[in-house]
Amino acid sequence: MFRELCLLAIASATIVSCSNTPNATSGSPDAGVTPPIEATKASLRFKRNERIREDFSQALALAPDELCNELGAYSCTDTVHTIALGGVEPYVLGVREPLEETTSTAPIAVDRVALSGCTKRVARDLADPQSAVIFRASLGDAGARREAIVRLYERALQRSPSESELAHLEELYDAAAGDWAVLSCYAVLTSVEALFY
Amino acid sequence: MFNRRQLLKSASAAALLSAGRVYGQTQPEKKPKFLIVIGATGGCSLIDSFLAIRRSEAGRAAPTLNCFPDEQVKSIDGTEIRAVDSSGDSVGAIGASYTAIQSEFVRKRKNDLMIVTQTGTSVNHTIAQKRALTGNEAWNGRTLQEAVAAEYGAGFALPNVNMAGDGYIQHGTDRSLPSWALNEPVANALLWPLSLDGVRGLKDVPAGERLALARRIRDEKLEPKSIFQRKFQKSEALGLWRRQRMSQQQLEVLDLITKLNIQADSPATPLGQYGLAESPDGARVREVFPRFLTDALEAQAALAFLLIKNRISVTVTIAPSFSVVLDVPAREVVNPPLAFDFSHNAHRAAQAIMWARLLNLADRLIGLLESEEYEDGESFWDRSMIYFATEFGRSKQRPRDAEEFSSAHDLNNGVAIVSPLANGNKILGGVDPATGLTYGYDPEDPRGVPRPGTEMQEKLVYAGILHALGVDTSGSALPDARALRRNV
Repeated sequence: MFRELCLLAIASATIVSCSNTPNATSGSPDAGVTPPIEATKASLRFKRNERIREDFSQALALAPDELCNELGAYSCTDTVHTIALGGVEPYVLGVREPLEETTSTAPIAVDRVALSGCTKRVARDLADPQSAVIFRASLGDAGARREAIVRLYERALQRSPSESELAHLEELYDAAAGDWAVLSCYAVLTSVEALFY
Repeated sequence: MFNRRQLLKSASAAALLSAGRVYGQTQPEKKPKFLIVIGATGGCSLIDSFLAIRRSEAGRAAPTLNCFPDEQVKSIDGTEIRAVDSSGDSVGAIGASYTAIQSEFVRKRKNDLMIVTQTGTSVNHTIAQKRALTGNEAWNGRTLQEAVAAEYGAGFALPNVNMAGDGYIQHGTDRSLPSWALNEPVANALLWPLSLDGVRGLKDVPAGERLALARRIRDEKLEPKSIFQRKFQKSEALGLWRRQRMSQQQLEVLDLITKLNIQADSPATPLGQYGLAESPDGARVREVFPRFLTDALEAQAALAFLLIKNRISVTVTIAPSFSVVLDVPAREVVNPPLAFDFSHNAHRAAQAIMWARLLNLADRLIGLLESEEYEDGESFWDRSMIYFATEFGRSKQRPRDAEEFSSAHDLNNGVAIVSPLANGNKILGGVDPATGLTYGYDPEDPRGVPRPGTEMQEKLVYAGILHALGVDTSGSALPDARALRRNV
């Protein structure tokens, strides 16, 4: 009897947790979506320089060494902002372990990497629509913008955007117009969901 | 200065208030004092500088004691603090001659120079470096820099900046400190200003109001509603990230990407092509530190001055690394491999070169701080202190009559502090000329009464520095260490 009760409890817990698993249109308290259970430990880690470089490069279909270079020459993630982005530099500085916490300049460094990469991706997509990766059609069309955001979320966050997320980024178009693509890309890549795990 | 009035006028004032820096301030802003830590990486020895022993003083121990030919140990008028001026034909196996002068610094800065003996507790570089900054965990594990930043840095954009490495850049362990008092690391003083603006210096990127709008949509609409955010809203890492993001905009407003940029426009750094410019003080600091491109320590010193002068920081840490720096055309060893720790290979040359290097650099930095007014005729230097932190001393013995030899780490040593706030022109403690061992002093007597046979703990230097800088250490149980501050 006790064993059957335990199995029932486990099954119930499984059903509850599954109901909170992000579905195909996850990301918001949209109607009908069960709110997530708040994590009690909430132990998150910052991705740090190498993972940010690789994740952003993959999301934007850019080679890692073309993602971001300060003054056209110095790698953002591997030279200029290495320590700020939580990396190490054991040979000269003797920084053998990454800093435990993010630094004041880390958000700035992330911004620079994201803006640089997004600008490149958008420029290439618009210049060669046939080979476009994210922004494939005329962005003056709301449907094309919606599809671009879906691709962006899938590449950057490995999920589809919610209806509210789509709406918020569409809201950006009215004010940003020609910069909408870069700024949407930036907003998603610099979100905490893209930077922490 | 990035002060509370400016914050309250700014568009992001509300955000910063909730970020906790201004909100957490419970007492009026105090007029700051500035701490510059120069890490004497590798272990600088006082008996190779300010407490040097003449051969004639060492008696029977002379042939095997680390003592100098009499003529190399300089006595300076008006002070008991000594100096060693020396030269050599090689730096260990490196075929480069050197000339190292310490006396000029002592002659010029003696009234602000204080030598304090102490015996450390670790011969491990990393551990000892950190203990030199924490007084061996004297105050809940907070570093000197964190304590100074917490005392004075609330209204400063980046109160505590650290360009050193290894143990000198480690955070302390006092979790009660606000996060903004912890050090902001700088890996490369020349390129670091690019970390101070999220968009300037990048080509063809949207900026201004459009970027601000994108940030607001991200912060206020996309993130709060995401499952990720709601699931992990208790995360301390996310909380810190949000606070740091809010501070970002204030850093950008201050135009630090310009003010702290030492470099001039050049093919290697085409600033103009990227909409950037050098600091208004760029030419000035390049003139004082001409080796800024080839010697990272000179670039650090230049940046340290700009951080203090522009009232961005109240404490800055710089240090030579273990990497060798050569001036090949001049056939000069600027920084021996392992810095002071090259004493394992060539003690005399390593100590001579590194002491001269640090003292010369400090003198130039002091000159800049002296020339810059803080307010009402008072210079920045009048309110500053340079602390030559070091891991440990070196062993006191040498092979019979050897003028170059190998030395090991030795806990028995002391430190040098230079500041108008310190008990200047004073040696606290002394050295036994027969053994080379330093001994202690009465820490509460400003006369620096020596106490032969005693050894002083790291926490006394730690406490003395903080009290000389006017840091409130209530509740810390730190000793007063009155002997270390200027008593007027």
